[in-house]
Amino acid sequence: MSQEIHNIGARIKAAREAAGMKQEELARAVGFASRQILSDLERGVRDVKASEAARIARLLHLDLSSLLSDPQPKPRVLWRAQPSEGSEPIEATFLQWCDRQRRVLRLLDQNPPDQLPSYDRDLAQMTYADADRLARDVGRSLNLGARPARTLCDALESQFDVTIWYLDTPPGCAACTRGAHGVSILVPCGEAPWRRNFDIAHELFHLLTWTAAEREMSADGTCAPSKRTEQLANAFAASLLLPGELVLRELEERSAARRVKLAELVAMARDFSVALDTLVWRLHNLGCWPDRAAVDDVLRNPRLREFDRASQAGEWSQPTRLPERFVQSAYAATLRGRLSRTKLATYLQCGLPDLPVCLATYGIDEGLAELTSQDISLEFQTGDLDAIAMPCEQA
Amino acid sequence: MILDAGPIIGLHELGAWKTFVERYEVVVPQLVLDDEALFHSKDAATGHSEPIDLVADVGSGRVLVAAASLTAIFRVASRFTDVIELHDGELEALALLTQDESYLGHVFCSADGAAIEGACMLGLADRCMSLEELLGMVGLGRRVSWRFTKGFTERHKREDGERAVTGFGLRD
Repeated sequence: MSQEIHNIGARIKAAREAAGMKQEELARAVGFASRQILSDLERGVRDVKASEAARIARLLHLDLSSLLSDPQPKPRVLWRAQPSEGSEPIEATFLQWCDRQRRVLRLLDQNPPDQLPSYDRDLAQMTYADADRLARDVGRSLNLGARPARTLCDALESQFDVTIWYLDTPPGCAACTRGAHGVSILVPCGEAPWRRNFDIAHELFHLLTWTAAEREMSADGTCAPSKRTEQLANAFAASLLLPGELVLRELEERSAARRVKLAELVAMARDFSVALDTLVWRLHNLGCWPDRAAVDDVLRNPRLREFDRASQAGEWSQPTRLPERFVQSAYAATLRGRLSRTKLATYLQCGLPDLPVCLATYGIDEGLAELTSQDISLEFQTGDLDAIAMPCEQA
Repeated sequence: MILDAGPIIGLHELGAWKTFVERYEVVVPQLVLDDEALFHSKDAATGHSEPIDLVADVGSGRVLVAAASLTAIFRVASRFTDVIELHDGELEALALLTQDESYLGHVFCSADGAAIEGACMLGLADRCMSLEELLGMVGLGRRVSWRFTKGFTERHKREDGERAVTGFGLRD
């Protein structure tokens, strides 16, 4: 057999093992008559039909094109509450999207950007006050404004090139990754908007302290952040979404003689786009509500819970299925003739005839874009703008 | 001829599929056939969708299916650098057209700019034909949308010609 099939066989084996699948299991799912066929393929002593390889790729949450191209090192993924069972397919799907993003950017002659700062601090020595300071620094540099949760996603995407993927994962199972494939956050798409905001802020902490987290995990021989690191990430997220000075100012406006109605707290949580629990614990940590038992009691109050739920109805929103920037990049690659339109439909998870409608949901009018894609010749050079003579007055 | 997904859908939308497959020997790559998500036709005016049942056509022998090997498709994919990315079915079509003796004389009909350019990069420009031309050759000529026109195919052949000067998109 050829070297080519030997190479692909090795990639299939590595991908199968990373997905935690046994040969029997995968062979059966593909429809091979025996495990031996897959074994021979993995050892590079047997060729198969391309359609069978495509089925293998699909079952391993890979694109066939990934199996056919030079292998990339498997990126590390940090989980917040990794599912106790079945996390491999979710992780593989997340990495499949990250890889698609990397491939699309390569089609545009770009590498996945990483503008995110790194705070390489010893996490074991880090205090909650340090996490709070870091949150304030990040909030300032991102210019998140008076309601940080409402602007965080856009700011992360536009200023730090963080891609946020909303995938169908169990609630609470957020994750992140940072490396040669870019900077990405995975958020369960079924969660409430305020939970998603907290997930993103929590994962941002891991991305900012990525180097330190990797060092910590290597030293401990674990593949997940320590409980202490998770607590720091929660503290960071709460500080980022609910900056102390903004919360206290708002509390002052909503209270009378330092007393505030519970209904006002619910309204305040909605206004800041955070969960009620997050706000209440933030108030506790800011020293506004020191009695921990009272906080617990209030959060268990069924009538308050009901009131909180009722207040959520008008604020509930679904995220777009795919990050808009990914769709825009993929479409730009198609316009340049580098990404096949059929492949674009695959990436957008729609049928080929539905592509125009699907693109329209991301603000792309395919018909108009094609009309305007005609090249024009311009004469220009980069350099000192002052040196460029203005040939005529503006009309 | 080997048909890509776009023309298959287009022929159904034009109501010309049945006659077309009677007049031509139509081959569909297995990976195009397998991608069920691609297949339904859509009425442009009403938006009404109709499923396309290729399996029945294959079962009756009106349409032939061809499958490339993993090695053959890998050889095609390896020719391209990572600045062009095609659908698996398109790669399979190119693998058949370049490596399978049974299809070395076949024509490739696609409505996908990147697929046409990919075919041209592999030296298949002369075998790329638009649906408009193919319809005209068997007396089924009619007005078709831009992607199916000779102009669209020729434009992408020209773009490939410009790229070919620099060797863009192909490995040595």
